[in-house]
Amino acid sequence: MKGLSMIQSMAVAGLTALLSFSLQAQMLQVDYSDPPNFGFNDNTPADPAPGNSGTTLGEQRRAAFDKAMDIWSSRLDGNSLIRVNAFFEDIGCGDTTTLGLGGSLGLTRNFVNAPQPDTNYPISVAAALRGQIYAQFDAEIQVRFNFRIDSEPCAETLDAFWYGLDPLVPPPLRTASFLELALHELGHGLGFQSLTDREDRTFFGSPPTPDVMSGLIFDVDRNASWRELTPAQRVQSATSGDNLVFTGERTNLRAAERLLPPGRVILDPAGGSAQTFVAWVQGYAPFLPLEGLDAELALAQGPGLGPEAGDPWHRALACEPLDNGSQVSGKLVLVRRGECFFATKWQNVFDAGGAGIIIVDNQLAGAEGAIERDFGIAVDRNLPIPIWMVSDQTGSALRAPLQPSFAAVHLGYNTQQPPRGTNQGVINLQASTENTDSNVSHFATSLAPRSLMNPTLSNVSFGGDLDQVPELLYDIGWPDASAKQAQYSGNWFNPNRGGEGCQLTFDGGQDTSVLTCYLYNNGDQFWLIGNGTDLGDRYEFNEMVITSGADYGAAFDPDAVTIDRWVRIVMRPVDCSNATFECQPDFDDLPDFSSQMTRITAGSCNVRAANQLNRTLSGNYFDVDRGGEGIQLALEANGLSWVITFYTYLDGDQVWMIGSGSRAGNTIAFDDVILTRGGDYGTAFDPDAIELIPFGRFDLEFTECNDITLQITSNLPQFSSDTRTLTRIVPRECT
Amino acid sequence: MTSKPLFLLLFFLPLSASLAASDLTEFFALDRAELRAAESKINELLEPGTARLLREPLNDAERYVVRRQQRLAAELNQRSAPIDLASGEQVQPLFWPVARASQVITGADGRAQFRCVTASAVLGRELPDFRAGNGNRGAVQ
Repeated sequence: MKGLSMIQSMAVAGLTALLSFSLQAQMLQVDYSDPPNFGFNDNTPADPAPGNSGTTLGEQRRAAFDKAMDIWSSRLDGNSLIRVNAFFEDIGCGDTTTLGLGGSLGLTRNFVNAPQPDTNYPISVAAALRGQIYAQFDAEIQVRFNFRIDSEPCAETLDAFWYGLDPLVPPPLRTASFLELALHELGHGLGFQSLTDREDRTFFGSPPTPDVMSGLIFDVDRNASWRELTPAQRVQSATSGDNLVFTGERTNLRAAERLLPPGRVILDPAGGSAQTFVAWVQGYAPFLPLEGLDAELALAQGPGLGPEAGDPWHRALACEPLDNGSQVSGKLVLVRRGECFFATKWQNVFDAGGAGIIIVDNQLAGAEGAIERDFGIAVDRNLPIPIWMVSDQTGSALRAPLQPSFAAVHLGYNTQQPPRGTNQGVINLQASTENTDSNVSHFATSLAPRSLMNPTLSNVSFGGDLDQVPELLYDIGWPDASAKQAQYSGNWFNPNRGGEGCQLTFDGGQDTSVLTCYLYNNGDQFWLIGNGTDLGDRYEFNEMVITSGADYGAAFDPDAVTIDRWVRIVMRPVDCSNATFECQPDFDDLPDFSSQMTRITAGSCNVRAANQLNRTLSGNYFDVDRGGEGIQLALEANGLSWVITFYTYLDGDQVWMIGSGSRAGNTIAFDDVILTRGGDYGTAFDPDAIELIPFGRFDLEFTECNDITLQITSNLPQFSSDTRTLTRIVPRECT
Repeated sequence: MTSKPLFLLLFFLPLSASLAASDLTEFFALDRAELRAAESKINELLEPGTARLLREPLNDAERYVVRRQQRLAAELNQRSAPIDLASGEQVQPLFWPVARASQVITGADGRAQFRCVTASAVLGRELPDFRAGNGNRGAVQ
């Protein structure tokens, strides 16, 4: 936000203090042990990578790995830092080229605070729980990468790692997301690894001691966990397909929320002759929601290579811009496979206004080149419409009623079937008879959506999504991040949408999340407020309300305030500094809207709960005689800057002011308070239209545990100066 | 924990890193085409699983590949005994047997497939097979 660029610059002043703070309080501490000008220290200039500020190969690699550590650190907690030794080396090139490898550097049992006695734990988990690193080791986790991937034609189908970090820019074809790889290998090092011998599935140790994960690995047919099985039984179990499940409670609660049943398309769903066909789902977010999509189906038509005239798929390949946009706009569009990348077809359908694309295979079922599976589509871009696939035979059946008219279809899921990748409601681990080296320490490839910890990486987590993996780590003993949820506290904005934003604080002893968002409609300010629910991987603010009717200052009448439910906002953090805010208005005339936001001041996510900033003074305050207006105060992530927003009214309409300051004793002077105007809602927002109007200053004093006084000095004639006594909307316990 | 295992452990861990650094010096002195040729003959040079030498290397690239693979095999085969700590805790160095490695291979459809396997499968029992070399298969459409 323009006015907040001043606030951002304040962060620089505190950088030194911040760094010294974070180094003592880290959760994960990486040692980039490469020699100078190599690997993580490679000084070779690099092409810009979206979202990655590095200008050399080494800087980009470090930025991506640091991001992976931030993402993990935001979701875990611990009593000790965990050391990560990361380096590049030559691991060879060839038909099976190793990109990287990782794991815990050891295992341990009977440590202080061990959740279970006589049970092996990775030393990463153990250090976090016992509150002490293992001085016998130079790190708890080791991650190694193959530098030759970037330096020569190392693998037939892979050109380089992708160091981009922008969640809206997927890796190009023939690249592998380094962020995803780093997250995956760190995931193993943090504890997603079976501590059994891969040859005979004996436990390690003398005497052999079961590991924590084996207590949660379950053989459905034998109705027993791996702890209860003999080594020979575990060997059989490890290749027993969907018989092998992971019974961790939190993992399965998250999986039940995320996993989807098989896909299907229903032709003429409301008619008497509905026909149902198998359909294959795309492999990456955003996924079609469980309720699916009802739309008319239209056939793509456009120029370009493809079958000759007379072929029913003539001009239906969508390799060039469509010329029947008026027919396909708002509809699901049937497109024939072939002649160009799937991404090109997807783009052309999106550009023509299609609501989704169904690609029809051009190979007969059973043919070598047929794509008869979920996730068979590789793309290099991110478009907000679904891209699914059907067989050649199904495509013909769907196409038949389309010429010259349209057909009603339902694209979605067979909710009568269990979610893929589950057995009796419990999530599967990989237990294939093929490529057995991937078994047990990954989620099954049958999961949909795919997981970061599938044995086959697919760039699905290039944006940092951890799916249900944190919950698996909680199940084996890792503390979750609930004790440090205030890490998300502060002001958030989209750098491409300067002038609007949201402020999140945690009231009532850091437990109650309160979100305000500062927005525009037709040039006028408005604000929303609501409290949310922490769901582990997201905050849901299901009843964000808008108010109206009151006036400013002495003319304010709390009885004049009317409150209307306005929008649902879901905040999905990638890490403690980056999140997607999904706005879902309750009104049909306002479309859903999503914005990638970041905090206005940088701060480390790599901090344990015990070392978080003291944010107890952040929160919402109001005058008990003036319900319906108030202020929100937040200590920003740099630990120095405070931001205040005053949400109030003028002539019946909402207005808001914002300012920044630094604390001196019990006071904060906000001498740059501004009012804004000129923006619009959602996609109509133009940051260049925002006008900043100097308002005056606020002088705040903390008086009691839950109370403040606020002196308002206005330079604008329509706003009077005043002094208010305010108290917290959710009081915290005072000691 | 006794002082001897600790000493050995502390000695071993930095040793791995220094050996890797030594490999890099050698690597950058190599002719890259010669290196790829050596990698394509890896199963003539070394026995899968043990990295036992099958024939003498004929040039610097083959010597480098042999040393690299034997170093990795040595790391893989390293087994440290559990260490009893005074607190009653027992800790055991154990990276390779439980570590995971992500590989890229070319699938039947010509598209890259990334798969994560037991690290020891790559570096121990089945040494990487470089014999076929890389063709120029296009991305699937």
